Amino acid sequence: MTKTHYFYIGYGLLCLLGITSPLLNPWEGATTVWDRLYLKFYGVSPYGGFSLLSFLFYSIIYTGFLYQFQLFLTDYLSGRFYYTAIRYQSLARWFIHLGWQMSYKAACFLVVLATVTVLIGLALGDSPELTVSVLSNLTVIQLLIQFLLNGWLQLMNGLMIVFITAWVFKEPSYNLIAMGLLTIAALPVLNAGGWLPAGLNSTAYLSGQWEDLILITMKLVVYLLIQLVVIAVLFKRKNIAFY
Amino acid sequence: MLKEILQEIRSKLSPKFFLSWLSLTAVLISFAVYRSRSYELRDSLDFFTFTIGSILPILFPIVSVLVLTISFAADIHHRFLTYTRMRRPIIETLNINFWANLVLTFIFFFCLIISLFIFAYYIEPLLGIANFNPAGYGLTTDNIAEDTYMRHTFTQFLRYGTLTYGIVYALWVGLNAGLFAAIGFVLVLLLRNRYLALSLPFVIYVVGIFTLSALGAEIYRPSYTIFPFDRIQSPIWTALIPFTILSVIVAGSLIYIKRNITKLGNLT
Amino acid sequence: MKLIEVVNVSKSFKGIQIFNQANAVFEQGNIYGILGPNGSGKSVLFKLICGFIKPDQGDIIIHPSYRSRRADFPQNFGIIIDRPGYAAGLTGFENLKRWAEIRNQIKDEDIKRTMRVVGLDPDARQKMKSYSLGMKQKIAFAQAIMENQQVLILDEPFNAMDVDSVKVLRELLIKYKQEGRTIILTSHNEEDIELLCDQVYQIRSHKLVPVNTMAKV
Repeated sequence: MTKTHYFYIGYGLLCLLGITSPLLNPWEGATTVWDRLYLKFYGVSPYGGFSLLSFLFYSIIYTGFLYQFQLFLTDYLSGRFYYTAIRYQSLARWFIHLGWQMSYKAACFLVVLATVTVLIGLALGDSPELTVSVLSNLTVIQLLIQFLLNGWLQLMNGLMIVFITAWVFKEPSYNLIAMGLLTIAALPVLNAGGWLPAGLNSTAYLSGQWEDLILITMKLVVYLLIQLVVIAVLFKRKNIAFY
Repeated sequence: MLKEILQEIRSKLSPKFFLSWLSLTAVLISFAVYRSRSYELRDSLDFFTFTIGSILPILFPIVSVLVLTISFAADIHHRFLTYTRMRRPIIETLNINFWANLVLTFIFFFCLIISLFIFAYYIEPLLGIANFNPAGYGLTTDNIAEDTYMRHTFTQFLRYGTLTYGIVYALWVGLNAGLFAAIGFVLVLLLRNRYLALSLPFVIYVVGIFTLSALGAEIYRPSYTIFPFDRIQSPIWTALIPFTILSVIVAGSLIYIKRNITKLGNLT
Repeated sequence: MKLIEVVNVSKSFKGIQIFNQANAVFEQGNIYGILGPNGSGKSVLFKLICGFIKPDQGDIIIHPSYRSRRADFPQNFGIIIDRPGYAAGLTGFENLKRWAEIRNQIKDEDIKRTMRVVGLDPDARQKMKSYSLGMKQKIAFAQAIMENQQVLILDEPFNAMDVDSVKVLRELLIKYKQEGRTIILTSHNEEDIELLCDQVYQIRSHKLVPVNTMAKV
C-alpha cells in the first residue's frame, strides 16, 4: 500500500464518519434515506442558520476532493510536464484528456457518495420511501439533481479554479491561499446571494422551487464557461515554464 | 546561538512582514465594520470577538504557515540549507530557523490580535461604528460586567482588567500560531512534496475540528480552543489539551529529526 | 530540407533581452551545437523551438511534416529541457512507461531496450527519487529517444554522466545522424561539440551566429 492509498482510506473514513455521525444533523426529524442525503450534505445555507459541522463536512467532502487534485497538479506541473506535453502535441488535447479523467472521477465520486449514504441510511433503519420529509415541497428528483448534477458542476468549477491557480502560479503559497479561499468562499458571510461559485451544491440551497434549482445550475455553467475561456487564453499565451 | 536566532529574526522582520500584518489587520477590521451594520452587539467584547470570529478561525493555520514557514520551505527546495552545512552544523541551522520561525509567527499573531483588541476597546468607542444594544440581550449596567466574565473561554481574565484579557488572549493565539508554524516546519523537513507539507497543518486543523465535533468532543476542537466564541465558556484547562498534545507531537518529531538528520533527503 | 527555421526571433523576460532578431536554419540530417555563456538563452531557444513559449516577435517555422497546423508542439521530437523531470515515487521504467502510454507507439520491451542502451537496469526497483543526477539524466535521454523520435532537442544531454556512458551515447547520436535524424544540442564540453557537430551556432549579442566547428570558440 502506498501513501496515496492511506490518504484515500483516511478520506473515505472521514466521509463515513460524517454520514454516520448522529451529531451531523442541522435538525431532527429525518425519517427517509433522502432526508439523510439532504441533511448530511446540507452544507451552508443562504437563508441563515449556520452549522459549523455541516460546513466542515461539506468542506471536507468537496474541498477535500479538490485538494487531492491540487496535490496531484503541484507535482505534475513540474519539470516533467515538458515530456508529457510534447507527446500530446497540443495543450488542448492534453487538457481534454485530463478534463475527461477528472470529470469522470468527479461523477463517480458523487454517485458513490449518494449510494453509500442511502445504503447506510437503510442499514440504520431509514425508510426508502421516495420523499424528503424534512422539507415538504422538495422532491427526490430535485434533491438528486442538486446533489449529482449541481454537485458535479460545483466540483468541476473547483477543479478549474485549482488548475488555473496551479498553472499561473508556480509557488505553493498561492495554491495554499487558493485552498483557503475555496474553503471560506462557501461561507454565507462571503457568498451572500450565492453569486460566487462556492457552496452552491449545498442541499441547503434547495427551496423546493424549480426556478432556484435551475438558477444554481445556470450560475455554475456560466462560471465553468468563464473558467474554460480563461484556460484557453492561458494556453494561447503559452508560457510553459515549470521546474 | 541566541545571537544567531535574533539575527535571523531581525533579517526576516522585513517591510513585507509588516505589510502583511497591516493588510490582514485592515481586512479584518474593514470586514467587521462592514458587517456590524447588520448586527446588534452587546459591548466591546462582542465587537472584538465579532472581528476575529468571521474568517480567521478557518484560515488560521494557512496564515500561520504563510508568515515564515513558506520561505523556509523555499530554502530547502532550492537547496540553500544544503550549502549552509559546510559553514555551520545543520542542527544549529535548523534550531535557528525553527525558533526564528516560531517567534516571528508568534509576533505576527500577537500583534494582530492586540491591534484588533485595541481597535475594539479603544478606537471603536470613539468612532461609534457598531450598534450596541445590551438591553436586547437582557443586560444592564449592573450585570454586563459579570456576563463578560462568563461569556467565552479566557474572558475569565477580564476580572483582572481589560488589558490583561487582551494581552493574555493575544499571547494564547500567538502561541498557537507558532505551534502550527512549527508543525509546518517539521513537515517541510520530513516530506518531499512541498505543497503537501505546507497544507497539512490546515488539513489537520480542519479534520481535527470536524472529527472532534462529530465524535461529541467539541470543546477540544482547535477552532474552539483558539477562537472560543461560538460556544459557552469552558474551563481554561480544556483549551490546553489539544495544544499540549500537538506540542508533544511536534517535540517528538523534532527529536526524530535530530536523531535522523543524516538520513533526511531534503537536506542533501 | 529546412527542418527548423528561426526567423527574426526576439524574446525578452522581465525586461531582459534574450534574443533580438535572431536567425538560424537547421537542416535535416545534421547535428547542430548551440554555444553560449550561462544565461545566454540556450534553454529559451529550445523552448521556443518546441513551442513551450512564444517569441515576442518573429517566428519559428517547423517543416509541415513535423508539425500539423493545429498542433501546439512539433511531433516526432525527442527533447531534454531544463533539469530532469520525473515522478519521484516511480521507478525509471515506470516513468518511461507512463510517457510511452500517451502515444502508445512502443512496447515495454522497447522501453527496456532503450534503458539498457543508455546504461540503466530496466528491472531495478529503485525509485527515481533515489537516483543520482547522472541516472536521472539517463532517464531524460531515454525518454527522448525511446519512441524513435527523428528530431532530438537535447539541453546538456551528457550532464553528470560517467565517461563510458558519454562515449556510448555520442556514438549513438552519430549513428542517428547517419540514419538521417536531426539533432540540436547544447554542451559546455568542447569535445562534444567538436566530435559531434556539423554546425555550431553561438549566442552572441542576442543573436545566433554560425561559427566554424573546427575553430576554438
